[in-house]
Amino acid sequence: MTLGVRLSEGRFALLLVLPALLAIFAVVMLPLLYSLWLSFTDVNVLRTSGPALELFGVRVPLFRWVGLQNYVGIFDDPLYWSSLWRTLYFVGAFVLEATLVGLGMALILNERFAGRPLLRSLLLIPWSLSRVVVGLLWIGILDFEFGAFNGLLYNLHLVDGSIAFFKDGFSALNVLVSVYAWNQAPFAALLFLAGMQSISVDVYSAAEVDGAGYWQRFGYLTLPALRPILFLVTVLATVNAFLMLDLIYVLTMGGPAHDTTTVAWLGFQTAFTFFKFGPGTAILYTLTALCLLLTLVYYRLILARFEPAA
Amino acid sequence: MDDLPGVDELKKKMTPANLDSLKSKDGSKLLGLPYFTSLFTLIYNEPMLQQAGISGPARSWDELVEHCTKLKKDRISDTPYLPNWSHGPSETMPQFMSDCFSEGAQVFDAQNRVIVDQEPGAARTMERWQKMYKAGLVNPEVLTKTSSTDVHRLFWAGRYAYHTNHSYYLKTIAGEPQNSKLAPKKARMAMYPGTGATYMWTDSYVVNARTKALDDAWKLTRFLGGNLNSDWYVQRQWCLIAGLDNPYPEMYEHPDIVQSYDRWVDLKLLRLQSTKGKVIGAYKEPWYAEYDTKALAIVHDIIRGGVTVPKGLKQLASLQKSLA
Repeated sequence: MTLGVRLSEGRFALLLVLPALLAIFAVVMLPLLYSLWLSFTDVNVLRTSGPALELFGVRVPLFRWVGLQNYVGIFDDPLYWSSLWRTLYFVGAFVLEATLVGLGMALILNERFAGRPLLRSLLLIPWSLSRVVVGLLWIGILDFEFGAFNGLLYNLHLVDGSIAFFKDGFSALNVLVSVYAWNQAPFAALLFLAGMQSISVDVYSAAEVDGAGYWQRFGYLTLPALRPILFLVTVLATVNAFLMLDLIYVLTMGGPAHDTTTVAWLGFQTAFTFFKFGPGTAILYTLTALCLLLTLVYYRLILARFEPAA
Repeated sequence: MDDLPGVDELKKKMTPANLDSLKSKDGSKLLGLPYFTSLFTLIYNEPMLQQAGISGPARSWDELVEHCTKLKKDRISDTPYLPNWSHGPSETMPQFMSDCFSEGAQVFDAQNRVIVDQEPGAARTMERWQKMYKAGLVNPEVLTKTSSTDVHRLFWAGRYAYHTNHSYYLKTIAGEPQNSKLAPKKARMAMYPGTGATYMWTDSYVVNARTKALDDAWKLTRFLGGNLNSDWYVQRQWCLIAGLDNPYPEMYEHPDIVQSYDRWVDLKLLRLQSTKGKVIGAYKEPWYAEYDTKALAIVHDIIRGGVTVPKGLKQLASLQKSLA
């Protein structure tokens, strides 16, 4: 290749991908590194004393390097630990619910029946809704006083009064899990369905000839073939569950007390309600670490031991 | 804002408590003009009380508990009391402050330190809340509602006897038949029980001290929060459209406003209640937002019996000390 300057093939390739790399660095790496740096600083924009810059008449507090102090502070905070255990429960329950429901939906939609194309299209509606809308929709369904579900149960004479779905913290947390699963399971179903469609029909025909029943075909053919999809679904569900914030904002605001406060909500509150960006980002970076760790665990459990030996 | 033209006239027209809440922490400078003011009030469901043979609204908290117990016992209401214990920044804690004030307790001292652990009235408030929650007199779902607005809408259903919330919510409860079963005027306001003292706040418009367009900024601020060209247009509209309380008493002499308020509230009583409103100086402290959020969780724990009243009140005081 000659452009006035002679470039090797490798350098030319690098030149071609450079704009993309620069864009990725600007929109992914830079904010990531900046936020990581923030987590080692003492940033409180409400601070009225201490070093600051005057910029266009606005007082901008200077960031002070504090090393691991923010991390030590959050690990010393009992609220962080209670939020972490709650988060792990939330993530576990959500991943299980979204994966199983998604798989179930995919199995149904993989069968031939009248109306299947329509149902496959409708499947994506819950997933395509904004989560604020999802939250408001479920308030309309589950509300104690005006909820459609309570109204239905009452009109069918199945309940005497109304069911308080948000009556305590644990109940509210489980409602959050289910509402989020309702929103996310269709996407898992779509991925599973795509995986199922890629399995050759001949394999199933051969298994049927050998006398394999539905569950045997599912256990010995479908599930092993879906292993890469299962990995993808569980990783995505885990990361999404760790970071879920918007439904908490709409449905419970982390309450009653701290009973639905997850680590993501705690980090958000610390950064954007208390304006303590240092401790806030430190809290959220512990989530990043957990996500990476769990991705590794999933890889080991789901993919690595089934990979063919070299 | 003190040097701006017409400020002195506006200051004279404002209720002293509202004026005070718009000043800097040391009280020396006016920082903004009012958007609206708000009071915590007691609202009651008149037909429900009549159905239970209760002649009038409770004048004391003990009486209110007594009424609610009777209403539950007589199966007239499952959860007769609807307090604003919701989970947002202007809800449970203003309710807590209102009830403390009405019990004669202070929440903050002159230096804005939390002193509820030394106030018997605060302990009485929390003991009552615990008792009412335990007795099932309050709908537990209120603790996960995310705003005062959501809470007040529950009262529309007509299944509660008493409600405590910001005064302006009575406008939809008693004044909007298309939404509320308690309109027109089946829900009424009563003086806050006990001493009658209650929480009051002032929302405001401020001007950046370094703005390069001070004349225009001041003109806009007067239009929004005052009387530009001697016309209170925006202030009047907030009263008429949303029923927001107003920090300028002369607003309540305007015939349109008198006529409008008459559709949903006893205006004389509302004005009397506003004289008992207490503004919160601690709002000007940089730690307040974090205190409010974290204190709310402690108060919710006290309500649900997760922590004893003396221990919970001590936690509130220690929390504030740790943040200040």
